[in-house]
Amino acid sequence: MSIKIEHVIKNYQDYLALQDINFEIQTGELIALLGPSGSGKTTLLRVIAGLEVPDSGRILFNGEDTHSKAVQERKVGFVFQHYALFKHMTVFENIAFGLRVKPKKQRLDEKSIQEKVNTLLKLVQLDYLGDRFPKELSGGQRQRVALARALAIEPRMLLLDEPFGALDAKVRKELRQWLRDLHQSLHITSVFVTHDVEEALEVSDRIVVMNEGKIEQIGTPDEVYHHPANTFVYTFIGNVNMFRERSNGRVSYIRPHQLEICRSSVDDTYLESHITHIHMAGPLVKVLLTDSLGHSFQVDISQEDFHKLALQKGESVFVRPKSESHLVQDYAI
Amino acid sequence: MNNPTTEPLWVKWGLLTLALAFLFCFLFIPLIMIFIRAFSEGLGLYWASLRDPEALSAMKLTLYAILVSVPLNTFFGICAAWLITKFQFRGKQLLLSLIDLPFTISPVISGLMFVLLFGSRGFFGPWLIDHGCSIVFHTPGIILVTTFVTFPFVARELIPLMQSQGSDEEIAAMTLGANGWQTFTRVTLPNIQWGLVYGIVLCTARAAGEFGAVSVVSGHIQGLTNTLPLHIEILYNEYNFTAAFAVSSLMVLAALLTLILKQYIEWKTER
Repeated sequence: MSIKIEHVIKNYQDYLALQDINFEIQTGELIALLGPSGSGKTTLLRVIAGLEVPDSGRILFNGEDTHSKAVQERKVGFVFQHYALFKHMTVFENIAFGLRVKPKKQRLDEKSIQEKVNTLLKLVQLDYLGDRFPKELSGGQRQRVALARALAIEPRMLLLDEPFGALDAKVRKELRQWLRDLHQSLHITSVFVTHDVEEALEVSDRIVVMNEGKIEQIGTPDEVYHHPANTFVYTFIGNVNMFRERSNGRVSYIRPHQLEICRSSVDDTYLESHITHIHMAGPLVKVLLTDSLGHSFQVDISQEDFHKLALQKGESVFVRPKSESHLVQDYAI
Repeated sequence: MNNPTTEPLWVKWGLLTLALAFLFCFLFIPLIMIFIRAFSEGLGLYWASLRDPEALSAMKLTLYAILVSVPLNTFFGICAAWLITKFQFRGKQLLLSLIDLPFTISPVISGLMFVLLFGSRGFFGPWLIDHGCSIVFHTPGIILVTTFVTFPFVARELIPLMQSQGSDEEIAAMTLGANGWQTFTRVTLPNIQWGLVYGIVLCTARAAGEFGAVSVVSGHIQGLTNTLPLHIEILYNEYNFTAAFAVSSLMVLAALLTLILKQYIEWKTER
């Protein structure tokens, strides 16, 4: 189902949570709402779900205004950061909940409910845990139960509020991939909220970057990463170094891997700097430096280059952009 | 080996002995005395004191007060807790303090308030009496003050519990298509059930034992407006010690039963 968000505004007493939000989500897309905390991304998700009422603006599902529709009628699968599983019910009953509360006429018979829940349990690879209680499961398992529970009502879309936020790093990565695969096979329109840049880049079809209640950029992960629309997106997505020219106060940005370190300088594009720290772990070596003005910045170089140069902490070296085009002026973004 | 973060053994045993000694002097001995005194003139008199028509009528009235006030307060308590924990509104703190009011004012004052309102010279009293509805010195008055005095128990028990649970589960239920009633009966109620039972137990205990407020509105008409605690007082004032203690022993037994129930609930919720 397609979702269209038109001029949505939401105020909370003294601050603007959403300032005139406009965008469209195509059927079957997997969208990430990405932004720092307080950027309004969760509020937007809750407005789409019908859990919050916007002060003005419209939300259209397949072109149909949802204004008069209660949460119950919207058929959205909502997944919470802290799972919100029903503590007193087994995993099986949690998943069956949405099927059992249906009005009598639409309700499936007991046998069909059983079948459906068992299918869902298989889908989330937990068919051996049906009679356990939520507290007996790990975080990752709980979130998968929550997802199966949301899918049981055959929702028209899936809304996930920081679904992996409460999980540890390793499980988070696994579940990310799993969500991507699940979406690939179900093709259900999905929106998930995250403040984790890597997660948004890795999982989504398109990213909506939000800041202070506004949309900064909408684009594919590739577009958002390589062609940031403005300074905020550029600095929020990935590491970035900022340089301020002394003469005119102009600011320019460059990513750490777009800089190179040399032993000697040829012309004045080389910046003389001091190595203050070296992080060896990982595929790239992260070298922290300070220039003559005391600005700190970072350069990422390959392990081979690092060993070729034989860099030491405390040494004086020269740094320059690998290409002039990498250096982005503030106004140019 | 002693755990470095726990106190030495003698502290533990010392405190335990102190606590037990205190309980023994101020709780067990007085309680045992009640039973000794109650049975001091034989089982026959004990039994007769309980079978006395006035005692029976007091028991009936107390039971009656419990049967009306406890369900009412359970209902209001759930409503108040729901309102306070699931909604945001101005004056929430004030409402919380108001719920506590019956705890903070002396029961005697509570009783007087109702006399001032519904007594024969009270605010609503004359009109109500003209229309054949007497409250003060009648059963309705006793039920009214009992309800007032015991109002906070259920709400007080539920509010912190529901606050700590948040409303994510309810919201989840709603997104899954459950209506308000289904959400309440299938999600909220099972989550608060033991807290609710605990509140009801405390409320019942207080409703049975309330003395001050009831004493003011009752008028002490034997066989008519006497509850158990009032009946005991009258027996005692008439130097009818054995009967007074016999009836007291009944209330002590009820209290012990309440304690056991409370313990069971605590054990149940910890699981």
